[in-house]
Amino acid sequence: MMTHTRMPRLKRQKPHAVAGRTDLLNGRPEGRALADRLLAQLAASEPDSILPVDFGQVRFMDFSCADELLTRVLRRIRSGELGTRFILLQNLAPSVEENLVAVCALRDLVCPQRTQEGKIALLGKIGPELAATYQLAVRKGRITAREVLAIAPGVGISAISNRLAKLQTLGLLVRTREGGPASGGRQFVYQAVC
Amino acid sequence: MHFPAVPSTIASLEGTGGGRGARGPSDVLLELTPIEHQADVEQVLRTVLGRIRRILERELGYGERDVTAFCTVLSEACTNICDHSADSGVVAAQRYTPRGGPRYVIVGVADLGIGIRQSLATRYRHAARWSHIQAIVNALRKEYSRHPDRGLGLFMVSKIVGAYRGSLHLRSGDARLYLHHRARRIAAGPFPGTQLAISLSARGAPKRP
Repeated sequence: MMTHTRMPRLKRQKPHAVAGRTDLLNGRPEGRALADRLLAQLAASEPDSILPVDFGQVRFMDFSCADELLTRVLRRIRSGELGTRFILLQNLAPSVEENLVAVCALRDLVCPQRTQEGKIALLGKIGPELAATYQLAVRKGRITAREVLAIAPGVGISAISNRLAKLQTLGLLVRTREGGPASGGRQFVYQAVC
Repeated sequence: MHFPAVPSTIASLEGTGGGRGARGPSDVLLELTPIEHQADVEQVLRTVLGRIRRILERELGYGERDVTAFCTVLSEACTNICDHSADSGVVAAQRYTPRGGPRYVIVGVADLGIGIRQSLATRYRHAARWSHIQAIVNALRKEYSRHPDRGLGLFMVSKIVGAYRGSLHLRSGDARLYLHHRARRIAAGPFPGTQLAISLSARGAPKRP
């Protein structure tokens, strides 16, 4: 009988507070300094973990500062350099979220965030099929390609696998191989970064 | 070259000066303010988020998103002085209530530093070969050939201006560009640094997508 090898749930680290000299963050040099601090903490955190990035102390962040911070960090995550370490944005004031959304749109990036209502949403745009698949993973915690078929009945399994692979490339899902007696083999299981 | 301690006697920013003119009565939102360090930019933002915010809400119908857009325009323009001009500069803002038209605000930012072309050339060597008008146009573009990852501050300013049915007037070297629906080059005498005049309309004036 094949044993289950379950991927451990992504660990939630202690939040990293985004904090500059004041609560008004502007300019590229400030953004670079913030990115350096966040990247250092990310690199030092254990693998298979999510680092909440808290903007509670930020009243306003201009576009250039947001660009330096978010673009550098998300690209490092997406490149795989940081392994299975991810971020989740939280406590975004509308004035801060506005420019972070603009960065994601212009740089073609996407990042999970916890909204003020406590829900998991995405900053940045992805296609509706990818968004629905990600939200399924958030609801269920872990999904396989076969489980996605339930929300995409007319779609072939290889197209579903492509969706899941795309979400993994975007840093929104973490993939592992797990075995199970039902399958008689190993399959990919995806966990939401949230 | 630095602006003298009383820059209002020599600075000639479009839209400043108060009083009645062809545009109708104007009111000062932000007095001519020197910008030399990031702390100066923060102080301007603090003033906007405090006193000026209430005026923008009351008289231009601005909500939170609109005030954020206004702050972003100010911050990007002023921070460029600190980061790229190799000099100090000034910023001012006024609101206008023209007869028969929507209210609007004009932000003026200027410095007598190295100008846009030389500033870009310090980061991208080939920019030194551009004309001043080419440098201005490229500074406003989202991408141009060799550097897809460069700063997009001025591009963001132009996007916000477009969304608020506004205009952008950018002057540096021997070139002057006016952006309102479309870009037009205007004849200009030489200007050693950089001058920006940005107008944003009141909420409710038809926005462009």
